[in-house]
Amino acid sequence: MGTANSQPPSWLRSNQGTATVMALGCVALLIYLWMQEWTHRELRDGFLLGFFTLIGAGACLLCSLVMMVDQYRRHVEEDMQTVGWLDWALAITILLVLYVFYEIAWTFGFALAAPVFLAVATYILGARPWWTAIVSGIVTTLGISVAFWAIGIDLPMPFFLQSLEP
Amino acid sequence: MVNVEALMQAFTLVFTFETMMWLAIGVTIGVGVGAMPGLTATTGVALMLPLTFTMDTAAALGLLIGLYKGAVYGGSISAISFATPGTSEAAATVFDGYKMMRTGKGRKALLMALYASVTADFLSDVITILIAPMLALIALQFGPSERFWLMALAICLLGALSGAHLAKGMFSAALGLFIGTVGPDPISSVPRNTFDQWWLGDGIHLIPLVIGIFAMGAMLERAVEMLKESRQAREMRAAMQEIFSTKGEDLTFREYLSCWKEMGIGLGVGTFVGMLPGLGSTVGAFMSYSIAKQVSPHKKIGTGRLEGIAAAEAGNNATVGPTLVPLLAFGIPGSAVAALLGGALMLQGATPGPRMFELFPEVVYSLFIILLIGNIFNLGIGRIFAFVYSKLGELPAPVLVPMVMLMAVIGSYSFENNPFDVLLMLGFGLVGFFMRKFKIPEAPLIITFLLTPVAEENIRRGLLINEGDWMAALFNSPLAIGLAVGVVVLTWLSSKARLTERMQIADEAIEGEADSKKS
Repeated sequence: MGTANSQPPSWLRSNQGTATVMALGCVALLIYLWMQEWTHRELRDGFLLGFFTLIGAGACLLCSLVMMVDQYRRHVEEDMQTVGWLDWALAITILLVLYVFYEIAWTFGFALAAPVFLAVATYILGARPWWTAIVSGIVTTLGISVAFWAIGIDLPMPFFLQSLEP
Repeated sequence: MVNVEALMQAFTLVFTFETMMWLAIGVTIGVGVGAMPGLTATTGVALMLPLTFTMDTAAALGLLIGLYKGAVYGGSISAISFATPGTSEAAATVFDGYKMMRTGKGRKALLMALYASVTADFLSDVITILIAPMLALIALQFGPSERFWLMALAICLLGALSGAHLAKGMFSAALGLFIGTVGPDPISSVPRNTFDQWWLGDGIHLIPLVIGIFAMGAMLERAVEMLKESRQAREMRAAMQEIFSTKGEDLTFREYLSCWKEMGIGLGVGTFVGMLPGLGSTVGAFMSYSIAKQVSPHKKIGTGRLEGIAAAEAGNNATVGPTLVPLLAFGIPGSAVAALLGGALMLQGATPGPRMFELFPEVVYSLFIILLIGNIFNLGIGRIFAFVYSKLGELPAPVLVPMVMLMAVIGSYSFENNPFDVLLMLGFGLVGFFMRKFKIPEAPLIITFLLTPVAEENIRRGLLINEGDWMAALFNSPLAIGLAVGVVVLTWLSSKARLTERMQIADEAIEGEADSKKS
């Protein structure tokens, strides 16, 4: 569990800091669960409906608390040394873009949306020259389409062709 | 006792054009996945899992087991070719493999990796086939409380052994337990823990969870890194040109046989490690390598020797079959891939566990046959394409990452044509991203997620039998008490041994060595 960094990392990046945030999240979750009616509902066999859920959330809290005080509490994971708000913003943006792709693909069809998505994403991620991104987008779309067709899974058609589907 | 009728049925299921084709495709994709740094066997199996629900059981098993076997071997290709293990289990192969590559013996090293992998894999599969039915017979005698404690033991072992930091492994298992309670309870089907969302009423399915945690989490990490810097591809291409400028010589049969002792060590260690929940093929490879080095110091393993490659590769591939033993015998997946294979079997309507030998013997026999013949496919495809696959490291990440992301979106949707599965998968992708950054192991989460409903069902059955008496339900036999004590003792022992931490230190040492070699 060695670390190597020239700058002293902030406390929040350490196991203790991150575990504190996690523990606060777990406490909030436990409070929410405790306030739910279903958590305390007794079933016909006498078992509480929320028993295992509370055990799960409680175990998460316990592990977070252990992380805050154990021998690794001051340790900073290598990846945590460099991760910043930008990383989180980029990750969330990528997920949003993927959801937008999903919506577009299921409206305009996979065959139209996928090559555009792949070409743009490939280019943004660093493929050069630009035409390699386009070629890779088209080839990958063809490959995936053939594979899914062979398996027997229908990929989404454009909305104006959906009425033609059997 | 062999059920001859079921065995014959299994032969007719397996030896069809469709099953053979998917097995070949699985191995072909698997070796490629293993050879590409950044993709692992788990990612590959997770991505392919939703495709299997339209297939026959044998074809689905062929695709997934072929992919798994291929990927565990494939990791050695990039480990030998450019000191970048395609998968973590191939990290120990870097020691000798890369040194041999640098001295012009890369071809020999690649062939040794292939032959050692296939030999140990095949023999460990035979052991699996012999052991799993016997353990299943024992497991059939277990009551609800014994089954509950066995699962608790497996969860504790998984959490303790799946990473260097015990609390993080246990956190992952606890999170899996929490997520596993979303949806209907296993006895009365009353919905719970749905956060007042109607679409969570049926619970969270395995497919969006595994694709999100394994595939999307890993790809998000790579995409974010690439958006921040784009030097890697250029460096990789430069390394590849250097490697392919050297001519290599073939491996002789005598050289292959000379490594029998190291392959034997790999077989023994890998088989044992594979059967234990939580350890996995990376630990198998490192343990086998370390033991082989200590047993034969005169062979100078670590200085570019075939024996080192044989030990490491036999050690990791020998875990492939045995990792299915706890799944088949007790219904407890011993690794993330075993959990995914268990998920695939459930999609096919065959719940893994000791009863599977009675209820679906033809599926069990099909699995055994596929395990064995998968090695022949691995040998053939690996032998023919190993040198082509070593170029896969060149496949630029800008192409790979969006492709996998797109596959993840389609795969999670196509399972049940449910848009909420896509949303869940994306959400779990973010969870997976955080877990990777904070070094929380993912495998305990998935396995505990699968085990939670079964564990809850067993404890509640125990309570019903014992009229609500918790003590009687939990400790109704000496075996149940023994297993409960085992939970405490094994967790304490494994946390003290900190085996996986040692493996990680060795891994870091290899990376450091490889970096210094490159520079």
